[in-house]
Amino acid sequence: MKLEQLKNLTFALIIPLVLLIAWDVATRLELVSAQLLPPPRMLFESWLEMQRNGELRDNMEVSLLRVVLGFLLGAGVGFLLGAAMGVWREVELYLSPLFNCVRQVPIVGWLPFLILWLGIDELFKVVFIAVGTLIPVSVKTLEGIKGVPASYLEVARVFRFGWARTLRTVIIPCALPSIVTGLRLGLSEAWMLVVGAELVAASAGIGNVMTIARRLFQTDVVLVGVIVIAVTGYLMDRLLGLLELRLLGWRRANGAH
Amino acid sequence: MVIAEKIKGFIAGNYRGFITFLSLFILWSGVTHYQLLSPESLPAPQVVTATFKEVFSSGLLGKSLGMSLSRIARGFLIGCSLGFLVGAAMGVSRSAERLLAPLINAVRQVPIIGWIPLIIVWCGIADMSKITFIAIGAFFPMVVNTFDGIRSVPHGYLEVARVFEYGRLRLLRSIVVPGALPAIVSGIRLSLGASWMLVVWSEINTRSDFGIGDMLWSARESSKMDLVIVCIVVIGAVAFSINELLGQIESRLQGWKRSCR
Repeated sequence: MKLEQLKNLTFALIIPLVLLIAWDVATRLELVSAQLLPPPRMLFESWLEMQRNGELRDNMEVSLLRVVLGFLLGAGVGFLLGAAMGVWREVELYLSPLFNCVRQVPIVGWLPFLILWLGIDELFKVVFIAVGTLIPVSVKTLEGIKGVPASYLEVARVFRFGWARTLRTVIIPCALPSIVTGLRLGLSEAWMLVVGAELVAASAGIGNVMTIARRLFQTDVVLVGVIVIAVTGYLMDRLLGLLELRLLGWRRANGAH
Repeated sequence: MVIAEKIKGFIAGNYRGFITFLSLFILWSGVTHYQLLSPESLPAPQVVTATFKEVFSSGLLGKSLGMSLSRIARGFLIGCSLGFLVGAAMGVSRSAERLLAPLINAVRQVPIIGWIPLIIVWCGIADMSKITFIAIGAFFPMVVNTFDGIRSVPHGYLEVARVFEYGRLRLLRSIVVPGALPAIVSGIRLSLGASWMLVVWSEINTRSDFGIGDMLWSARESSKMDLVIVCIVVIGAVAFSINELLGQIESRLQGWKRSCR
């Protein structure tokens, strides 16, 4: 087993190492201009520099704050909307055609609409992210609640569970995996949208750093930005993954699902 | 008789949805009629339809859509076929999986929009950068779905093939490809849907002469809300048609799979 893992690791490292060496050699021999492809060392140095002078930290703080606010707003509203549609059939009948219509539009389409209504400041970015989060969260919440097996609900009825008790002991535990999936989708969407919004309209944030660097042809900074947003996105997803394990670990242990 | 029944059933099932649409529309008309909001922030429905007719008949809409779709076609074809090849290689061969999967999983973590600045630096702001961007966006869903599709071919089928001593080619043609096809089609659907979103993003970030994203963004710059709304509706309608069309194909393929089991 150990040997197998070691083998996998070596295999995994072959291509990245070859690429890295090719990259280094190409820049050393100046096969490509350093402006288009800065050498790996330089990338590391500009990362250190950006760390030291606080450029990275300050801008990441701005972006993360936007994501958190937008995500909380969107996830909250999305959960309520999805839950309302899932629990009350009437609400679903009234709202779902409209909702399905609206969610066909890729989120980017709402960008100018929101800018014209809310200006290009913080409010617009938070609402934009919230809209992007809202859709997967409410879709998955609705799916989760609709997916509660009818037989479970019947058992609850037989035992004369009250409304609140049915919700707490039957519906929520059943729907939780789907809801958590929705939250994960929503968070990665939110992280992508904050970068997108900052690329087109911002005075701070990681996307803005990248746009400025691109205009100045600082490819090293752009590359650092790409890596930083990838790592941050990954960590945020892992964080929710841990939460999922905490909340839903019992499912796997029970062999249910 | 039957049709009348069907219509009746449809109305009974859906009238509540229509009520929501209708009341929103009445609200919209009312607000604009009494000018509770400035026409710049919410133009009247008539104005929006007039704008739609105008951009439609002047050919602007058609040309913009055509340009965007041709960018998608090129980027999607490149990204999708590369994604298919890589995914298929990873699915068929364990060593290809060992070599490529970690790298692809690492690169996949970049939120797709994050590539935009880098692509602009490398490819400029002409069509080339848009096509590259769309290709990257189409690549990843295709890799993942092709790989999953091939790996989800049930073991039993492969064993049967071994018992019958199928050659490699025959194994691929008669077992692996049909088994993986539904997942591959759903990969195509995902990456085509992503392409449509990405072409708008790329056109917003790197302006060009025509394109639906350009139309949208210039409407914002000149604060023409009516044109913005027209663009939103058009973008939504195209996204819906793409999704619906491929969804039909997908469910047909899945139906075949189900009946086979």
